[in-house]
Amino acid sequence: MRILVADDSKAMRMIVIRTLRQAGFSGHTIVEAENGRRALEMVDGDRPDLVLSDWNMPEMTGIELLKALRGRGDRIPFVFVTSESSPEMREMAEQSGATGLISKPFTPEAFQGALDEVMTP
Amino acid sequence: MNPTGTAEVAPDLEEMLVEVLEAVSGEPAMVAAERDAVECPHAMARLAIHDPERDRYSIVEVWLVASIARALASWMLSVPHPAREDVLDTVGELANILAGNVKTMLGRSHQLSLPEARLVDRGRVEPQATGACRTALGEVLGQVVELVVYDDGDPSGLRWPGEIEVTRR
Repeated sequence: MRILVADDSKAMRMIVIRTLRQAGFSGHTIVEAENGRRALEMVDGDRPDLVLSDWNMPEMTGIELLKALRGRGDRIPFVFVTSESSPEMREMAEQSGATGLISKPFTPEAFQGALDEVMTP
Repeated sequence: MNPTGTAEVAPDLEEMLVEVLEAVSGEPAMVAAERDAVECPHAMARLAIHDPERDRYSIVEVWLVASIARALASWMLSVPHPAREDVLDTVGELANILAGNVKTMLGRSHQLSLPEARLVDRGRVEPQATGACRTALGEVLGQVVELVVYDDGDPSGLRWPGEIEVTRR
């Protein structure tokens, strides 16, 4: 599986990638983007099977990225990894077509719960 | 729930700070028993939370000694000697996680800025904020990490997600 990790923090991208391994999701190809605009380009170029995206990013936010993907009919699984997890934001994410939302700080168990269905062939 | 200020989040700040410090350090953290000044050189990061109903900005600041900032960056990035920009990135992300959780506590329509981080060799950067503030002190790796949330501040210099810009009021 090819996984795109989008976050403007390099440190957080590393933590997300490490937590994927700790959650038992090893052996996948990881590609990284530092903002939503770059992630959108990489969805076209790298054709990932899953997007793990921060919400607040410069240039294009995570929700703008999701809406852009869904707006053109792209159904790629999309999971937010964000420090903001109010019920209203979860609702907005769901209504916009997100597969799930993992709130920071997170645990490997949170990744398992949110990604098991997506990662299982 | 329709909270109107940072007073509502104060009881939860220390618990949240400890939880986040443990998550980003991989080490046990605790509420700091005493307030010690964060010594120089230190690192700090700040973000703003905009309340559109009151058109006010809460300012969230995180302070920690530079050695702890480097240790966190080393652990998060899995490198023995993180570069300066990696330390700033780590401190900014730590503040982002804390501010995101504060925002979630504050209310549904608030908007969070992007973090601005800096390393300070001497002195202390004065907050561009007024009004009440809430402080939480956590301890990790034997050092204090300070989280301050101001009721009302100036978001000048901070960037916002997407392409939104905010000018000095």
